[in-house]
Amino acid sequence: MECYRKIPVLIVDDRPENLTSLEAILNDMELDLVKAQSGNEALRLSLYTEFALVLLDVQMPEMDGFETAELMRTNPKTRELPIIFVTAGMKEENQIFRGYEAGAVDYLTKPIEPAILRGKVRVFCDLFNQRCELKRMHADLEKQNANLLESYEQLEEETTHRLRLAEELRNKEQMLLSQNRQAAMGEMIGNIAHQWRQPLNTLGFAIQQLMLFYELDELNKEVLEKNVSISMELIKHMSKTIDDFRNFFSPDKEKLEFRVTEVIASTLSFIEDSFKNQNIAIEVVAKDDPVIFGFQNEYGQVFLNILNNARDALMEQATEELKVTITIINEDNKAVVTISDNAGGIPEEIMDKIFDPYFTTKGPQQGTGIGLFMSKTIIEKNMGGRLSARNTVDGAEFRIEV
Amino acid sequence: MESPKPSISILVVEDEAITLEFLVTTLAKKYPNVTLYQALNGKTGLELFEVHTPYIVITDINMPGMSGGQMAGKIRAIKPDTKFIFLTGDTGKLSIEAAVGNGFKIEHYIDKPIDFWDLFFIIEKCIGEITHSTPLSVIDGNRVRHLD
Repeated sequence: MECYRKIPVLIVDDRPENLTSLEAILNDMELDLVKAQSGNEALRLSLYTEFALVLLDVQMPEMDGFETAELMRTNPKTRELPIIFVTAGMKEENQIFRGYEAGAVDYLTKPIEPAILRGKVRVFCDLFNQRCELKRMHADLEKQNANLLESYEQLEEETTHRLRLAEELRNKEQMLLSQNRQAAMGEMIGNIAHQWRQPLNTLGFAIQQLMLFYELDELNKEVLEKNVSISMELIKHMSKTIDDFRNFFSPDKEKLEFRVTEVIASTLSFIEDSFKNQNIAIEVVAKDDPVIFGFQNEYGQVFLNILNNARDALMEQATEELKVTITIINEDNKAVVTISDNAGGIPEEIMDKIFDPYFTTKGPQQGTGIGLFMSKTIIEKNMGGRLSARNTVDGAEFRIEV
Repeated sequence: MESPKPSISILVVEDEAITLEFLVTTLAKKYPNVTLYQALNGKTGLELFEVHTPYIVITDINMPGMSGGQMAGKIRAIKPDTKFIFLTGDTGKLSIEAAVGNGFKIEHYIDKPIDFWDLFFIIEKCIGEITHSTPLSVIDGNRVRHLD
């Protein structure tokens, strides 16, 4: 329903003079008066315009007012159209009844009292306006509802999207962690191999020597005791090595106080043979003996990871004096460990990428691109410290502050 | 068992003290007439070589400071016909040759863990080459890997 500034009212009478007189009475009421001179014309007009009211003359030739009203009631478009019958004064009850039965809402007899007509018309016009307003509000509400629904759906979609992203991130982090773990384990197995090769060789010597001395008739209790005792020492050492490796890779359950020098010494014990095999010297300069409250094994793994990177970089060097220097100091109440090598340093153009996940300068077989990313996460997120890198005169220097 | 000629001398270089001791005590018992020199690192090994110029050098490869290969390179510059027996962990033949340098081709190397009888076979082969005679003793030749 449209809302007009002028309210449309249909006036129906077969006599033009009656229409004119109705027009005169309603003239100043700001109405859009539409005139019809027959029931047919009234039906036709009412199909095109939504009237606030029809003033319908009862006595008309061909189709009288009641018939017109009945036909209006049968059409869904005009079923609700309010009708005031205007008649020349047949006040019989049955006539009135018949009028109401046809769906009329009111009934006026001629001579028409202008004030009454105007009063009734005003009621219907107000009703029309209210309905108009209601419809408009309803439409507004519906629009708002639609908007709300749309925003709700958008929100829901966004939430789903965000949840999915968060899930993906979690999965990715899990994957990174397990990849890092696997890479570290692989590295460790290599270190165990190095760590065991020497004692296995010596153990072999101790055993074979017994056979040889027996053959040379030189075997005596002294030799036997010495070789058995050395063999047992080697076996215990190898057994301890695998225990240390296992402990090193067991996840930290809680933050504990630990001495940095101790963690560094035990981590170095895992890799010293591997470094020796590559002719890399390790120098440790412990100026202080700082204590950290945090995750000991994770800290050790970060340290190990940086050492492994240094070793890989050094192995690509032609220099004879390959060296890694580790310094341990207390600085502004922080435990600072620096690991520097003489492998020529990190190219400046990749300096800001080295801590990114999946960034690696090693081949796909050697590098996962996770080590330094995880190291940064461990030091900065898990332990509230700082891990940074810079180039020195002849190599790279990593700095762990916790 | 025949004994090698008294003039034969061997330098043994190994950075792990107990391993070196086993090598030296074993070789001393096995070859009582051979003069043995021992060093715990490449630098000392080179110094001993300069003084005594032994015929045979048995050396570990991976040692801190000067590696076995680097030491061998310097020894060859002094005496090119020195016999080398390399005791290796994970180092391949090619990287040893590269470390020695100067077009060196490896003749004798034994993987760790080392079988003493492999070592004896090679030592005796070297002595045989030096003295232009056949190897002095071959114990259980089936256990020996032939390198050439």
